Amino acid sequence: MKRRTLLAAIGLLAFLSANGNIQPADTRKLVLVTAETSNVPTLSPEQVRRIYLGAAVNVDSHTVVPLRNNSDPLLREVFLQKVVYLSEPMYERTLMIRLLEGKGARPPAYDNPNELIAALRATPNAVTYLWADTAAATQGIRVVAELWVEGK
Amino acid sequence: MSILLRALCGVLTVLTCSIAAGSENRSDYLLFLTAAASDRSASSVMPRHKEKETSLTFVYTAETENYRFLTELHAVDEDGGEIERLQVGWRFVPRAMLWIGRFHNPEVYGSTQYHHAQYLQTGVSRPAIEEFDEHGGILPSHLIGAQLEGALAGGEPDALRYELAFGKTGTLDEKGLESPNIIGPAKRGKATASLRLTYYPAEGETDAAGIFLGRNRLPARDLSIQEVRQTVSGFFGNWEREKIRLFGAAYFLENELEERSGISTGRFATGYLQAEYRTDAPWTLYARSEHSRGTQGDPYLMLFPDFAERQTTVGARWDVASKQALKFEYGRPRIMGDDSRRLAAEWSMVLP
Repeated sequence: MKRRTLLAAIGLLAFLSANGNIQPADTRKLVLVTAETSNVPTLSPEQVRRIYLGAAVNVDSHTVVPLRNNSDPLLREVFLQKVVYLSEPMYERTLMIRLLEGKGARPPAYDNPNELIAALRATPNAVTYLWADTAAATQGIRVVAELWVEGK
Repeated sequence: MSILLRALCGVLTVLTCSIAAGSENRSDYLLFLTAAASDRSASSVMPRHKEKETSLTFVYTAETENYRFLTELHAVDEDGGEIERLQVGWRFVPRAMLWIGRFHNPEVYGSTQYHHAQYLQTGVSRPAIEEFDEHGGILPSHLIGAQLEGALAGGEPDALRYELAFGKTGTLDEKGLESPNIIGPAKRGKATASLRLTYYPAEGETDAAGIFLGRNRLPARDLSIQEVRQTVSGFFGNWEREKIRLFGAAYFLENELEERSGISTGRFATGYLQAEYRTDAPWTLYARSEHSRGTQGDPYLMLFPDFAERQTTVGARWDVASKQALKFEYGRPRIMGDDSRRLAAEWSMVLP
């Protein structure tokens, strides 16, 4: 009887997991955030990629300002691999070449998460990327794009 | 200083102050350091040439919503420093920017790819046709004037870009081409114009293909000729997949040399193809082949005895740290019909 119950429980768990009804507690999700007061609308991952490659994406005649989050190496690597589709050396190289070509400054980078959030709130139309749980725990910001979910 | 140059300096100053005073201005800089050594063996026509050089390149940019400032300062241990680029741009419509100042000539593909940033270019040397004019290059790499650049509407964002430049270039003397100064005594450069069209199949990728066309007038000083009128045209391409990169360019030059006794003309073609392979370890192997046609007896090339009409180059780049590289290169240049060997090594880095 115990064995049957156990098998039924495993079967139910497998069924629910396959239908996406439950996720492991430690599933990581990467989101793009902006200040609560900013005008930045919902953005597509392709728009986010373009913004972080230096292309001008305008919102209400103001350019979206990307901020780089260097506070967590894993977060940075996931963002570059899954959203920008470049390795870190290639991304750095691309930004340096753009600067040399006169296409503008590199997105500001922050090693300190508190300074990053302060800059996000202080800069009009600024965006940055965070783990979803960090974003949920941070006041005064809102999510404008879901960029990546672990396992998807 | 000519009236045109004074007016240009005035506009540059006003626009630069506007950018500095802007409330939402952003700025950034890069500092490139390079130490290189090369040794070219003697041939029957050329003596042995050994060179050691340390250089520093500082690039600074500042921008507001519609204005942008860019400067590139390049200092070499023996020759002192030079303002390579000093330009201010005004974005007057969303997809176009008008630059004024001193900038690199868009008709020279290589000069506008990495400018003076040795760290960013894979190899130690450049193809002979894309050598900067102050380093013995045969094309005028600097312009003082105005440049309009932008993207043509339609298709993918910024898929087809153009650069249209007008201004004055340098002069010719017994040392070769001399760049025009933006600060200091004016040289009697003459009008030049160039256009480049580049197609980028995917934004953010480095793949590109394009064409260029330029018309230069190069006044001569202390030479038997008075002026060279030059038409430059050609095409270029860059293709990159995973670990492999291929890029190259072809140049077609037509020159008219105005001499006291009459006009002599010449035309030749030159081009190169470079292949690169990135290994899993931080090594990149590369090889470049340069070829020319019609260079023998060309009256314009007589003014540049160091020009390599053919050259095969192989090399390796080792990215020793995140922003430092060591490069080693071996080349077989053919200069004035005679082969020699060239060895070169370079250390380069970028900050921050």
